[in-house]
Amino acid sequence: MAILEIKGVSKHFGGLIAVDEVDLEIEESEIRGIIGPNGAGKTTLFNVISGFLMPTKGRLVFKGEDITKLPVHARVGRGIARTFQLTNLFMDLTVFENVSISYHKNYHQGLVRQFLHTARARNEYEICRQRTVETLKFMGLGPLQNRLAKNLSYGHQRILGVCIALATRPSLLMLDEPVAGMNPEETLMMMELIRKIRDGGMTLLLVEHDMAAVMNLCERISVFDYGKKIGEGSPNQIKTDKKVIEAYLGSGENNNNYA
Amino acid sequence: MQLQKYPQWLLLTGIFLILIFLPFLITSQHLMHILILAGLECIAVMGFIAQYNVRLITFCTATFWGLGAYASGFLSTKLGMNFWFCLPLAGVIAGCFALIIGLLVIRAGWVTFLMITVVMAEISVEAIGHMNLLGGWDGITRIPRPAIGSYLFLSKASYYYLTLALVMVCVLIFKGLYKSAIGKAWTAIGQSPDLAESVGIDLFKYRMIAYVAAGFTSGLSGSLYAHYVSYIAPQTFDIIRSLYISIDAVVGGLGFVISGPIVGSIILRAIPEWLRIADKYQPIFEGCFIILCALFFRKGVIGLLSRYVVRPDEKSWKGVSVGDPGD
Amino acid sequence: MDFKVFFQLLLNGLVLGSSYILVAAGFTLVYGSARVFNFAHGHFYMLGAFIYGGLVLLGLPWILSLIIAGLALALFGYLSWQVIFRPLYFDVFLTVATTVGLGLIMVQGVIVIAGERDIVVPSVFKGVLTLGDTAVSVEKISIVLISLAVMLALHLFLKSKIGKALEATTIDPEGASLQGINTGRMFVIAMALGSALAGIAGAVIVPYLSAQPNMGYPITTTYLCIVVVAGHGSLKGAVVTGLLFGLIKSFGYHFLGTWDYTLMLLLVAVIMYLRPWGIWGVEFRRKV
Repeated sequence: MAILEIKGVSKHFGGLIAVDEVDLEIEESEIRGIIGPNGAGKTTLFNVISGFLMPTKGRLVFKGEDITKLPVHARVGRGIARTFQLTNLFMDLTVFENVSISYHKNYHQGLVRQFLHTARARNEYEICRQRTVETLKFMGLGPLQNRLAKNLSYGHQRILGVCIALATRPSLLMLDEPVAGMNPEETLMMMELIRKIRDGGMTLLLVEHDMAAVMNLCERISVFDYGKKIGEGSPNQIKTDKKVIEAYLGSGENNNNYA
Repeated sequence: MQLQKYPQWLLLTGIFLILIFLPFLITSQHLMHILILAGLECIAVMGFIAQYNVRLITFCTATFWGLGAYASGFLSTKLGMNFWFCLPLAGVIAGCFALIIGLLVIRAGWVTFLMITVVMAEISVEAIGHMNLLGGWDGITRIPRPAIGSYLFLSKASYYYLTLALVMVCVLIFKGLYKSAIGKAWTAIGQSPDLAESVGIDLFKYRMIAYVAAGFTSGLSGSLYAHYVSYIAPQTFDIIRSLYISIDAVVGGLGFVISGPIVGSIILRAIPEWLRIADKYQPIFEGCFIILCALFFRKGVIGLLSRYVVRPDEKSWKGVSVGDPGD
Repeated sequence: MDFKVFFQLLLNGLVLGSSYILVAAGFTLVYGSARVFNFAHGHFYMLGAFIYGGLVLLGLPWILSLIIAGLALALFGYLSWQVIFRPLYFDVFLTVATTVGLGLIMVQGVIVIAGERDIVVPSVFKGVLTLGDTAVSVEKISIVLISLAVMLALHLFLKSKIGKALEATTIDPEGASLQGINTGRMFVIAMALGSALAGIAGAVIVPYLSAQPNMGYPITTTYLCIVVVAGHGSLKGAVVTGLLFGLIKSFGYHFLGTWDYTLMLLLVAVIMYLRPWGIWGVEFRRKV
């Protein structure tokens, strides 16, 4: 069953068409890669799926529910989580606090009960604490839990970003260029972690430029160019698809160094 | 060379004792008056900071203060209500206004929000001035003094304790909010609204809570103010007053949610008196103060002091970092 | 409605609109380019009015007074930038807070120096033009024409190389600096130019409105409304909306008296509901 259906979604910015009538279906528990040259509309698509941008046309259906009109926090409540292309963390908080704050959506007690610190609220805080510790351990950040986010190395910051998204206990996790700017060791570390997350049964959507990572991790890949989907298939299929190669090598105008 | 760091509880107890016995140590009635006014103002400043930390900049805190004052003044003079009912009612009324306005304006982005608060601050003075029911430009006079049974609150010392009690109540309210999950959401929003949204925090809801809490507490403070000075006029609650409140916040320290407002208010009320600054020059003084503070004491007075004192409570509460590249 | 009355209202609207446009354009430059939310911008306007008024009363020719007022405010803007805003590294709230302080100092400073009464400046362009059977004051026409001239000059400036660099800096400062544009200098230019515009706006309107120390406050609300409705990056939007608001104020005051303010706010509310980022504005969400 498709966990996410993107039906005819377009995003226009005035005259600029960033996403052009895209149809996409993500199956449960798959790892889907989204690739394409710069400016192909990948991050815009992410923003539309997560709710940071509203589509100009089209519908989004998540777990059978039409979420097109829902704001960001409501989509998170339904189980969609994302990371950011540019590192976005709660910089002045410790690693632990970063993740425990992100657990927030899972509190069930109403505001008044929380304000009064009732026993049930305190119980939830305890569960939050435990889950935070688990998540940190799972992602390997346990020893760093008391360090301030702004004092982490770049690689660890990116991992923390993923932890934060995980803390919301999503069904669909969208990673926006998870290994961007990482050196080879950090990239391998991240890939390992992504595999671990997948093995836990999570559905993953990945935007990435690092071809090795994408080919290695993803079961299916969707290729974009100029806002349109130009190819979709397994990594091997994509590697040999003529249109994809042309998009990356360009016809003279778009000279990217991705091959 | 390490500077001595004092544990927080010692400091707090010390401050608490001093506050309780202050009226016995101070003989100057004028100084008492200043402290009372500072105390009432610091409640509004706490509201300002709560809003600031969820990235809502308002310049109409004084308007809600005035709302509470007028509500209380009206209820007690025209309807003969007892002060002890007027006070909470004033808070509720101010809170309701905050609710309505917040529902309309908070979603609009901080520039629009700021603009609307400015507009509200200016219009409300005009509007109340034209309402004869509320005394028009002459204001409401002879607002009755609070009383418990046959004891009438007359002396400055009695008002001091009343103010102190109200400040404590508001401190408890805010502290309670900050320590709860609501406060955590506030921290998240202050650090990064986008990230907060992406972990499921409804920005609108939590901003509303801050806004209404600020409105409510400002209303309470305004009410006590009205009964203390016995006479209120529309001009008292103009935008300049709101601007002063924001200056108190900066001077106290924007990152410090309880001590900042208190210290800021006291400094900015007391120093002009101490330096015998004429009324005419007060805005200039305030203006210079805030510019100097922003440039040199970015973390405010409390920021300076916190190097000498360990304040575990405040340190673990982080809202908007002072000095980060804004919105 | 009587054509004569309509025409007068139209003219008044143009007069007000002209000064609104200059102020709003100035604010757009200062906020959009230099990223300074100058809460004291309205007081820059006031200062321009006072400097102009003072100079004219001293006997200086109007064009000289106007130029001096503009330059004085440009200098003032420049100094504020160097001393206050640049060190603050665009911390949004601290910037606003300092402009609050600046405004307080400016207003009170003027009150202390010049007293609280209004300063009425005799108009330089006396007389009345008769078109058909309508009498039109030359002064009003002169205000509109002068403002037009200033706007034209601004438009030409923005088409120049420096103007384009400024535009690039407004849209994306990092990108612009990567292209070799000296963004620091751009910020200074924006700040000085924007402040000058405010000063000129004040100077220009002085014969019509008279100079009072508190005149900065209502214009603040007006320009904020304009900028919010137009969208805060857009200069073109500021111009059109400024004119619109001038007309609204003029016609609104005629029909509704002091409720014209409310009318303006209603319009803002409607626009906010339909298009929260302003008519010419860019959709809020920054690229994450």
